[in-house]
Amino acid sequence: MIRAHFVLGVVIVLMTSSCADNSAPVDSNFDRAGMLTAVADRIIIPSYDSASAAAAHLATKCQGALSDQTLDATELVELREAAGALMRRTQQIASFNFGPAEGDFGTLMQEIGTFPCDTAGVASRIASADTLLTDFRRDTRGLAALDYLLWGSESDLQITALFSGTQGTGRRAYLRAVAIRLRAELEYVNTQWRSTYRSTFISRSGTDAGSSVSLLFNELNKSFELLKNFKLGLPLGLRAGQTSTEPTKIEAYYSGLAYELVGLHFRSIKEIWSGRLSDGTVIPSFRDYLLAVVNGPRLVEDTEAQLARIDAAYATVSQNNMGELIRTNPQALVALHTEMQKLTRFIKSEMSSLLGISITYSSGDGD
Amino acid sequence: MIDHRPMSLAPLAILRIIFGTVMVISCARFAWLGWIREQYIDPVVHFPYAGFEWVVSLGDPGMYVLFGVMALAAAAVALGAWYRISSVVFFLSFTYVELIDKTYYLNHYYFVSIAAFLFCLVPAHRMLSIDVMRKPELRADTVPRWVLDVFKLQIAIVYVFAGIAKINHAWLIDAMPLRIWLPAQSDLPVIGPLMTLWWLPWVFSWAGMLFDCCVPFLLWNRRTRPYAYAAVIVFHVITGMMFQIGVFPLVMIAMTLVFFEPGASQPQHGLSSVLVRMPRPVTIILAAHLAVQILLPWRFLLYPGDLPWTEDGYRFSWRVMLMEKAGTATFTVWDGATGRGGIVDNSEFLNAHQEKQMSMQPDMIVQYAGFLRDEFTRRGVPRPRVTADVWVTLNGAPARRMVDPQRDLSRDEIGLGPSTWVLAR
Repeated sequence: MIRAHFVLGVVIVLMTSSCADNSAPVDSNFDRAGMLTAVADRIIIPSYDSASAAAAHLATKCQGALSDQTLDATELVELREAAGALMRRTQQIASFNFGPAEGDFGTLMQEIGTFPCDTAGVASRIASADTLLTDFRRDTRGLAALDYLLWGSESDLQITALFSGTQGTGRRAYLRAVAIRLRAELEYVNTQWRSTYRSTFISRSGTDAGSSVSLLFNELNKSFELLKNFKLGLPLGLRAGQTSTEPTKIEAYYSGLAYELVGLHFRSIKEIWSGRLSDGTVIPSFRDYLLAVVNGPRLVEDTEAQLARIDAAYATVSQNNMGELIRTNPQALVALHTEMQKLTRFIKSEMSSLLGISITYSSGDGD
Repeated sequence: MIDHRPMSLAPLAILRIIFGTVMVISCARFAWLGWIREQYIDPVVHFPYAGFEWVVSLGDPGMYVLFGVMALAAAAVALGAWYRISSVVFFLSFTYVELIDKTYYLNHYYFVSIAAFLFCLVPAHRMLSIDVMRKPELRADTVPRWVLDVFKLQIAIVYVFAGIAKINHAWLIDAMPLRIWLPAQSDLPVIGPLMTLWWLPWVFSWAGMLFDCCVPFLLWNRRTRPYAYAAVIVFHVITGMMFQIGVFPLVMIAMTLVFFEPGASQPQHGLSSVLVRMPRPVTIILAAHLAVQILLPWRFLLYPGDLPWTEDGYRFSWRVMLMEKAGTATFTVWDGATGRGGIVDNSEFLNAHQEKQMSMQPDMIVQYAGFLRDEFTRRGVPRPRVTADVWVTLNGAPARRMVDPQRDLSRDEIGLGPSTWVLAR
């Protein structure tokens, strides 16, 4: 008994002495389910809703503009506006590639967001009137195909000509099919989230493999890696084994929207991490979760500083034609890539370490 | 110390049956979860142990066949069928798989390998077995008591070294990493809400250390044994709920049964009892094994540097669930002719688990650099150099650089020597 009291005494003394230099310890009871609810209701579902609406709008516009045998300049502008809006809004859902977004031919973002466009593939599909689009040739459809079909010629006149007359029949049908498939894909995921998946997502509030916190964390990181490695690194020729830049491999090469899309993609990642939405509202987020755990505030500080450096690097590039910039003066883009590279450890290894989140998808045994 | 009194063979035979059965379950679970493919067939890179580079994945269908053989051997061990062969086949097939890739290293797999090795050497099949049914003359009743003591000692080594490893500042004073891990478990049924209490990590840290250090002795003592075994069950069930440690709790709960033994030998069913004599070479091998077991966990003392950081001498030492470590490793391959550098996308070569393990363990970092050098040589990059920017966080501290980002890691070699490429923490 005496010994037990002694041990207890030692424990208490050691604990109090170790806590003395820190602020008073508090229970860390961050409400993960609350965070998931907020992320679902304030970010994920509205983003799918908005992207889905943009796809529906584009499909309707296509039906209208392509109903007769000609595509005039006004109709082209309208189609481009609709397609551009969809491309922009899709950046908002780039990090939610799980749950209902896992489809037969890969994830939703693979299905609709694969780039660069296989232009020869598109041409051959048009030639053979192949509008089924149910296979793994994802680079012949989706947003990349829109980009190519609506912007991919020397002049607007050429584009409208290609869509007009009897020789344009195949092209009109193909664009329609691409738009309709985009609408169907987005509508499906949006409906699933609104009907059943929302509650599934919120209920899995643990931190183990397969939990929603783990999914959200892992997909956020995958999305960021995709942005850094494929929207910037690869076209900039920064990947191992590359011997030169490959400017045509940017997303939305023909429309010239690439750099804007990079910015939107990054902004959505930042919003998910920080919970600070573009409309000014603040919701519970990984940032708040970090603030509630031991050593978290320091990481929040480091992460925010790095996010700010990325924003600053992004802002130094004023010219919007990213393909041209990669050819002529890629230094500012390389600097942006470098700053992004530095963010990885903060939002990947350090964050998962402090939050105790499983970094793998299947639960391996650990010890 | 060495007890030659004859003792009933029954505990050993029962232990054999339980061990074999748990291993069949373990193999089936591994296959069922798709891990044979995920861990041993799909990856393009593996991380062999130094000196065991010849142990390679057998691919598809080779790995399935190997696991099939392993499961059959485990079943045969449980049944005591052709035990001399089946016990060896199980030990070799299990250990082969473990040696393919050290990113999957787990202390409990190591323990299974050791237990399988011990089972190869003892006459656990001479009672309650198909072999006895086949050849009744094999039937024996007693073994020298020390044979069972070997198993007890082995288990005691596991617990005591796990306990000693916990006697350090981070574990006991900072309650790290439990201060990170416990709050993450607040969704557990029943005990979940307790996990966020601020003082709980200290209680668990100290309780864990005291449990590991003391439980073998309490199991050994007959008076305290039932309470100690109850503690074993509670401890392993709780850790099993909290952490993804697979069948490990089951293995330990099963194997600690060895401490329950009948008293002195009682002659059975009226016949004079048959005592198995242990061949001298086997005795020597077992003694040598135990000596290695007692010395191996101390080998870290031979290395300079900080053990949790360099991990020189970390594995095979029962350092179980001891630290929260994670890293981000960005590799660059440099063209030896043009000097142009390109960044490697690790996910092109590694699965998420391999990348996670590699990114914080110095030997794997160097092995991966060697792989990248070979891979990019094959892809036509002349005389590639490989550098890495590796940031590692230990127990929630701000991440530090692990290697010099200018260093050509593809020229470093792993072996028994210290990891000289590691920067001080």
